[in-house]
Parts: sequence; C-alpha cells; structure tokens
Amino acid sequence: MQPTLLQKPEILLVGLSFYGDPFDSSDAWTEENHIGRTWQRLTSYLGQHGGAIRHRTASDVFYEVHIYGEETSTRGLFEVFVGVEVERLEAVPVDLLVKVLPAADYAVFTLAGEAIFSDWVMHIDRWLAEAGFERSQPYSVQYYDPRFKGLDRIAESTLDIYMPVRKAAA
Amino acid sequence: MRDLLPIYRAIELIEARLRGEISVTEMAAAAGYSLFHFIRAFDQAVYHTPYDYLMRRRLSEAARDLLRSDQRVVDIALDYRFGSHETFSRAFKRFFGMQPVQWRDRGVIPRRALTPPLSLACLEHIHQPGFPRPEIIEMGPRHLVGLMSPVTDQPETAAQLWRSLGRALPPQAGGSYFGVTAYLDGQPGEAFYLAAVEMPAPDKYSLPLARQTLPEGKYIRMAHCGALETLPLTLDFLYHIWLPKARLRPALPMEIIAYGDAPPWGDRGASAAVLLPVELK
Repeated sequence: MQPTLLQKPEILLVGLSFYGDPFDSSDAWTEENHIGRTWQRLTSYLGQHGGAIRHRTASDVFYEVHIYGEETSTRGLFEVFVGVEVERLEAVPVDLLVKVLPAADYAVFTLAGEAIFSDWVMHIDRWLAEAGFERSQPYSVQYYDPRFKGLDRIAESTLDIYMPVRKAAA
Repeated sequence: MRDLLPIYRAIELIEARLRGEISVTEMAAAAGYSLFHFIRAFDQAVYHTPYDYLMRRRLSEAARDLLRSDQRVVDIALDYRFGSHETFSRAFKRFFGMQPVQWRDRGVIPRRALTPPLSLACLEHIHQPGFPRPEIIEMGPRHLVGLMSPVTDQPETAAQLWRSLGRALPPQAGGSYFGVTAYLDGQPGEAFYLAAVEMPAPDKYSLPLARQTLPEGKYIRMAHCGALETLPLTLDFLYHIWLPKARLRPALPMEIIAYGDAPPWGDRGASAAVLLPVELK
C-alpha cells in the first residue's frame, strides 16, 4: 500500500450529511445503512435538481468525507458527508449543506477491487506510523470518479482515499 | 462463515468493563480492527451498534443489582458509568419502561427482560449459512389437544409428555405438532409445557387430553436452523436482537414451537419453527 503525497488547496463541497453511527439502522435486515441512504438522498436530489448546483467542477466526481469528533472514540459516532465539488460558493440551494476542507497535504491511497471492502483505515494508519507521518485533520476523504463502477462491480472498481497528513513530531 | 472471533473478543472486553471506562476505540482495538471497520463489522455480527450493546448490557446488570443488593440507586448508576442518577433513570425507563425505584419495588425480573452477554455459540448460530429470517404473520385460532405438565426440567418434562402423547393419540391421528411453554406472569422459572397436536375437531378427543386454543393475532414465525438442542439460541436471537429491532414485544407469556407433521419423537427428525405472539411496543 504505497500512497502518493500531494498538496491540495481548500476543497469546497456541496452535499448532504449524516451524524451518528451509520450502521445503527432500525432495519438491520438489509445491507442498507445510513451512508447508503445519504448517497441515495444525494443522487435523488441531483437527478431532480442537479442543475441548481452552480460551478460544479466535474459532473462525474463525488466525495464521501468522514469527519471525526469527540463522540467518535467514545460512542462510535461521526459525520458522513457526501457531496460534489464546486469552484466557488454561490447561491447554494437551501436544502444542501456546504463543507469546506482546508488546504492540506494528503497521502492518497488507491484501493482496487476487494481492497475497497477491507479494513483500509487500519492499513493506512499502519503505513502512516511506519513512514513517520500522522493524521493532520480529523477527517478522511473517499474520492469517487468514473474508475469506481459501483458496489455490485467492486472487482472492476478503484477508489482513492485522501488522508490529510503531516510529518509526525519526533 | 465470517470470522466472528474478533467481534467476540470485543464482547469479552465489554463484559470485563461493564463497571469500568471503555470506549468504542478500545473495543475496536480488542477486535484488531480500525474503528470504522469495527463498528460496521460489529453491527453486521451483533445487529446492535457497539455503544447500544454496551448500554443494554450495563442496564441489564444494573437492573439485576437493583434486586439483589440494597445499594442506593445513585451508587448503582455510578457503578455502571451512567454519570448521574438522572441519566441512569432516563436510560432505564427507556429500556425497561419503568423507573429503577419501581423496578426495585416490583421485585421480580420479567422473563427475557435482561439482555444476556452474547456468547460465541449464539454468534455462530445466527450467522450460519441459510440462517432464516423471522416473518410477521396474522394467525387465526389454532385448536390443540395434548398433555400438559408443570415444567421442572424442560427437556425431560417435554420428552416424557411427547412419549405419553404418542401413546394417547389414536393411530393415524395426523395433524401438526406443537410444543407450548406457558409462563406464569411475574413468576419466572415457573411454567407449564403442553405437548400437543392440532385437531380440526378437538371435541372428538377427550380425556386424558387437554384442549388449548392458540389465540388469533399477530405472531412472529421463524424456522429453526440446526439441532433442536440449539433452540435456546434461536430464542435468544428473537428476544434480544430481532424483537427490539422490529419494535415488537411479546404479547403473551408463551413460546410455541411448531414441529410440522413430524412429532419430536421417534426416528423422524423433527423440523421446528418458533411462533411468538407479539404486539407493537
């Protein structure tokens, strides 16, 4: 698992979010969870009102951001934000939310096929520790572009993970 | 079958820390997973989130302590890390439907009210290939005739009743076979077992057979998968996982095992399905 290191300026995202334990479903008998439902809400919105999002950078790129807070460690609760990137914020529809990711150095890990379902967070944290890095921000980014073919075609799919990093203090 | 051992290691840590500090991150570490992967895997294995399972176990043990000790409620609350009397009481009321003081005054643990620690055997049972899903059905009245006895030792009592019923029934009686355990409300441990066969015309069969009618209403029906000895694991799954998730609760203090047209004695291996009368919470 060898990442690419790169710098990214501020990233402006417009989308929807969920806060809680995304797998805490009252209907645990389906594979559906709150992350899937948030995606469904977004794609449904884009299908009906996609034109309302102005200055979108790419029509076939999507972001899923996991943002960790105080309750993440104690209770397993965190925010899942799914959205699209825009060049600038202007007349954002009232039913969408804005997330601004700060300019940061990222280690970008590319996952292919079944590795997408693996415990890649653990693998990434292990790599960071061994390479003398640490996370610099309390979030991680999943970057979906046309290389990702869908959960039903995972063997053919590729997903990039952007992990904000900095050199670990000596 | 998925690897359930990592999740079970986390469950063991939860058990060891019911009265101590524990974070979901520590549970994940016990499983050897990252936190994100852990909460996903835990929910898939246990059908409760890690935090929800922890709370259910803490409340269950606290409820037991309320009855077996004379500790103050606030001390029990603090023992199980609820932070305050108020936080504990709110959580307790949500889980048990009454305040801790009312629970203590009542003095009896209702049957199946407490969430037991999830065993590795139960985890493996509910994740075996082809493990069936329960279904909610509307059932009309079912007329049964059979033999009933107070339960002292469930398997032995049941086996004896089935043997006697086999002798008492007329040849070619046919019909579907049911084992019904009826509990005396508020007196856990005391129950009656009825070994019975469904009869369209129960009047035809009189003494020594007893008659019982399963009331019409909403039931959950779930086929049991595996040896009959593992029926308690299927019941654990229904009471402690499926019913809370489906926001249902038992409507009557009885458990019914439907054996189809093969009675649970003799050479023919009986299949079994659990029937529980239920109502919305």
